[in-house]
Amino acid sequence: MNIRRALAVGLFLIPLALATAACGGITRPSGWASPAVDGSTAYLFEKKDRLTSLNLQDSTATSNWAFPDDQKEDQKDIKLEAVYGQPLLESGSLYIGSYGGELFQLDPKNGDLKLTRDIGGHIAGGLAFEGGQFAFATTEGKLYLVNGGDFTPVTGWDSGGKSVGEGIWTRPVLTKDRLYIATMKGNVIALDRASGQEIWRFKASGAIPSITLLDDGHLFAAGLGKKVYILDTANGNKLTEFAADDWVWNTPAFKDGTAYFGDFSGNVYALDITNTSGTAKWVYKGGAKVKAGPVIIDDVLVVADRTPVVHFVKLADGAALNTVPLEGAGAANADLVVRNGTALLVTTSGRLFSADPKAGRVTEITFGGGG
Amino acid sequence: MIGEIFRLLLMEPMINILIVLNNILFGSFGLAIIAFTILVKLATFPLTLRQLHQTRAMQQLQPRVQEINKKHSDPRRRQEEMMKVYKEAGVHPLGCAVPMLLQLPILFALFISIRRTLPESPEALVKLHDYLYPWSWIQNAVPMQDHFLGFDLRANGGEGLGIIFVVLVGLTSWLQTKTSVTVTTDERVKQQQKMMGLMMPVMFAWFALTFPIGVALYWVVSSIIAIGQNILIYGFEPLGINPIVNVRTPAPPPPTPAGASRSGTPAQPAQSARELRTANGPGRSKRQNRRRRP
Repeated sequence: MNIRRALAVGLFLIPLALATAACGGITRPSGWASPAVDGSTAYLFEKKDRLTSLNLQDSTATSNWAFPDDQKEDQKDIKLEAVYGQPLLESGSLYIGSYGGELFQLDPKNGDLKLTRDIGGHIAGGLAFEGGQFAFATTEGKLYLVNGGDFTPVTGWDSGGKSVGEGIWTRPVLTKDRLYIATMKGNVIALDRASGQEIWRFKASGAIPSITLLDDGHLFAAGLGKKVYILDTANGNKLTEFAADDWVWNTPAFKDGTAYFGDFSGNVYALDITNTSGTAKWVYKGGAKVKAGPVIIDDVLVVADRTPVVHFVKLADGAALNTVPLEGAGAANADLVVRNGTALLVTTSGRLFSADPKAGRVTEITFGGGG
Repeated sequence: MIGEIFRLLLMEPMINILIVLNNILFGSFGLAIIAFTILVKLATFPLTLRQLHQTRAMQQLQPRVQEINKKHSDPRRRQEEMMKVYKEAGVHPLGCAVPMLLQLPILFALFISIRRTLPESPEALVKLHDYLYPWSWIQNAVPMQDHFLGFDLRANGGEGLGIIFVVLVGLTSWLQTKTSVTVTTDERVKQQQKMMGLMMPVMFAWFALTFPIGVALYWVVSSIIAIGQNILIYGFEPLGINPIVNVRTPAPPPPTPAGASRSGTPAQPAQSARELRTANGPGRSKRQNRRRRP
C-alpha cells in the first residue's frame, strides 16, 4: 500500500518537477536602459516596469514623477515589460520603446502620457532620433521609421514596418540620409532614409547586437562572433577587423580616432580605427564581463563590469587607476552616462551610482519619494 | 556543488550538442530538437528497455501476488511472501521506477537546456554565453532560428497557434499511456490507473500551455518514440499488433509434491508454467544462471 501511495505521489510529482524545470530556464526580460539626463533631471528605470524622473543633488535625489502612474486614468492599465534603450528627450517630449512593443511619448515635466502605439513586436535596441523622426527595429525583423509628433510612418515607409527577415536587436543609427541596422544573422545594412532601399550590406561572422556611428565615415559593428569591424559608411567596406577574446556587446566610447570597448572575457580594448593591422593600442584586463558601454571623462576611461565593479582606466595606456566594487548592487548592463564630470550608472537592482574619475570614487545617489 | 555537476555534465554538453545539431540540420532549431530527442532516446534505450521488461514481468506476476494477498491477512507476512515471489522471478518491485528515476536528471537538464538555448530575452542571451563552449562554430550560431514550421519555438503553448502543440502533447501522452501495460490485476487499482491515464495527459497538456513550443516539440517527439517502444515490447491489442521484442518473463514457483508451494500458494497449471518459462531456466535470469554455473 505504501509503495502504491509513493508511486502515485511520484507520478504526480514527476510532471510537476518537469514543469518546474521547464520554467526554471526562463530569464524574464528586465531591461538595461541607461538614464537620460537633462541638467539636474535624470529619467531612469528604477524597476523594469517603472520610469522615474529624478531631481539630482550631490548624493541624493528626489522623485518628480513615475510612469506608469496608476493614479492617472490613462496610465493605470499600462504594463511596461522591460526597456533596453535609453529614453530619448527630443523636441520637448520623452520617448520610450519597450520590449513589449509599445511606444510612448511622455511629457518630461509631469510624466503625462501624450501618445502611445503598440507595434506588436519586441524592441530590444531602443530608439534613434534625427530630424523629427525616429527609427526603431524589432527582434522579429521589422524596421520602422516614424514621425516623432504622431507616430505615423514616414512617407515611403510602411506602417507595419519594413521586413528585413532577420532579427534586429540593435538600436538603428539614423543620419540625415541614411539608416543603418545590423541583424542577429550578422548582416550590417545601410538603407536610404527616404525610400528604405538598401544601399549596401556587410556580412559579419556572428550576430551583431549593437552598432555605433563613430564619426561621419566610420561605423563600429561588433558582436557575438568575437570580431569588431570598422566599416566605411559610404560603401560598407571593411576598414579594420579586430579579434576580441569574447563576445563584444556594448557601445564604445570614442575619442581622437580611438574606440574603447569591453568584451565578455572582461577585457577592455583601445582600438585605433585608422590602424588597419587589427591590433589594439592597449588591453586592460578587468576580469568580469563588460556589457555596459564605457565613457571617457577627461583622460580617464570609466568602465563598469557586470559584477559590478567600476574601473578607472588611464586613457593613454590602459593603466588601472582604481577599481571600486559595488557590493550587492545587482548587475551593470546599462551604458554609462556622463553628467557634470562624473559617470552615472544604473544597476539591475535599480540603484543609481555616480563615479567620479578625479577622486577615483563611486557614490550611491539615494532617492525617495518627492513631488 | 550538485548544481555545478549538473551543469557541467548535463546542461553544458546538451546545450552545445543542440547548437551543433542546429548547424548540421540547416540552421533549423526545430529539427535540432527532434534529432536531439531521438539521440537522447537512443542513449537511454537500455534503461527504458529494462524498465519495460520489469513492468512486463511485474504484470505477469500479478496472479501470484493476488493469491498471496488472498491467502495472508498479516501485512508483514504478505510482504515477505511477495518479496520471495519477486526474488524467485528475478524482478524488483521498484525495478520499473529506478530506470525512470535515472532518466529524470537527463529530462530536467534537457528541459532547461532547450529553454536556455532559445533565449526569450536579451538577458537570457547574455546568460547563454556562460554555457557555450568557446568554439566559433558554436558561438557564431547564436542566437538560433526560433521559428519552425511557422511556430515560434520560444512562444508559450497558450499563445496563438501554439494550442496545436498543447493538443499534440495531450494526445501523444494519452496514446503513450494507452500503449503501456497495467501492472496490477486488482480492479480497484486498475480503475485508479485508468483514471490516472486520463488525468496525466490532461495535466501535461495543461503544463504545455505554459511551456515554450520548443519544449512541447521535445515532449511530442519523445512521446511518439515512447509509443513505438511500448508497441515494440508490449504490442498493441486494439490493432492486433503482437510484441516484436521478446521479453524475459518470470516463471511460476517450483511445484511441490503436495501440489503447493512452500509458502502455501497453489502451483500454477502446467500450461501456464510453460507460457511463463524462459530460456534462462525457471524463474531465473541470465545473471542468476551465470552465478549457478561452476
